[in-house]
Amino acid sequence: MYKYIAKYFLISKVFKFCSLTAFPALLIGLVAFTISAYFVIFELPADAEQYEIYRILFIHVPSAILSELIYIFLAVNGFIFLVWRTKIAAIFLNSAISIGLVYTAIVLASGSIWGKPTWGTYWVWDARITSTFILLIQYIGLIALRSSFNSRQTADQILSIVAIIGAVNIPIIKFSVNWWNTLHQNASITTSGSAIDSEMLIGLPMMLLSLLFISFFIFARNIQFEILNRTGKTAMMREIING
Amino acid sequence: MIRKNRLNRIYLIAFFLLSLGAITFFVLRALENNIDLYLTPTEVKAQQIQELEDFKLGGMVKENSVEMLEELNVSFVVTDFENEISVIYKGVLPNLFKENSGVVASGFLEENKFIAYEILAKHDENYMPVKLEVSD
Repeated sequence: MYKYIAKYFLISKVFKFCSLTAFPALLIGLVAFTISAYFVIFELPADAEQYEIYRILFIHVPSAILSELIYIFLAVNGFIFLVWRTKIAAIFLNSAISIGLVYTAIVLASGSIWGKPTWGTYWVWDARITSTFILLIQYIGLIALRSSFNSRQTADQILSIVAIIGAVNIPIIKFSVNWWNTLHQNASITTSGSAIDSEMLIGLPMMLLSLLFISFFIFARNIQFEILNRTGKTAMMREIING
Repeated sequence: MIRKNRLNRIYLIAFFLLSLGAITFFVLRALENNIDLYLTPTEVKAQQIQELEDFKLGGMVKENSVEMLEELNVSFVVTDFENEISVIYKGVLPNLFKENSGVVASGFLEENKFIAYEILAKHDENYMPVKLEVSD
């Protein structure tokens, strides 16, 4: 099975795919983001208790979902790299770290801004917020680690191992609100339905999709630079930077 | 067919992850009391907390218990539907503080009353009649 999948992930094919899809993805993402942002800010009704400040939800929740999904993606790629030694997995891993870091920072910042008027504080060391803060440190650690080795092979292996170890934190973040007493509320959307009114709920998938497209653009560009870096084609790199 | 050395690496990683998960589980279990942000009134009663000892008390604000006294003083009752503790606080309350809604108060016990110096409003869908993200 590995062979059938692997032939679609040849480095040259991935590079070509990225250069073809990156710009359209950015275009779609920006248009979708503008529309969704207008929609959630001006069209959706205000919340009964929190009034307008609840709109932060539409940047907070998609970022939270992405920050965790990207980390799972890192760990899966680390696993594939360790088992099959496929370079492309290491390239994916390296390319996604910075995006995850940005989303984790957005989650913490937006949560803080929302917390002051609703909870009455910017920050509290409860289980959910602390574990998310640890996720931020994990991303920073991965970025620091990436450039700490002379050999690329060693760096990829260590990065994969650390990414897999860190994945332990993901279920902790997810279930922290159920396992411990926290100030952060429980999940609103569960298997038994949504505690967010259906009228407002539509804003979440809209924002999530637009952010996915924008992230894909950054991800694809990161992959291209990573590949060029590894193959040492500096002339081609210059060409891309200059357009 | 998956090659033997690859299979061995999968087993190694799986074993490694399982042990890591077990370690994390037991460490978190041992630290449970430190990770919890607040104590419920029942836990406060069970733990025999000393007077003037700092801790956080959490629960629901009991219906019809909020009394506005003079000079920003407010008193209310925190309940977890089994036990309850009355709280006295002086200061500005957060926007979402109200009856039948979650609250986390920092302070200490004095003569069986909880003297709070900070009040945070909490949302908890599990036992709140008015949910956090309800539109109407």
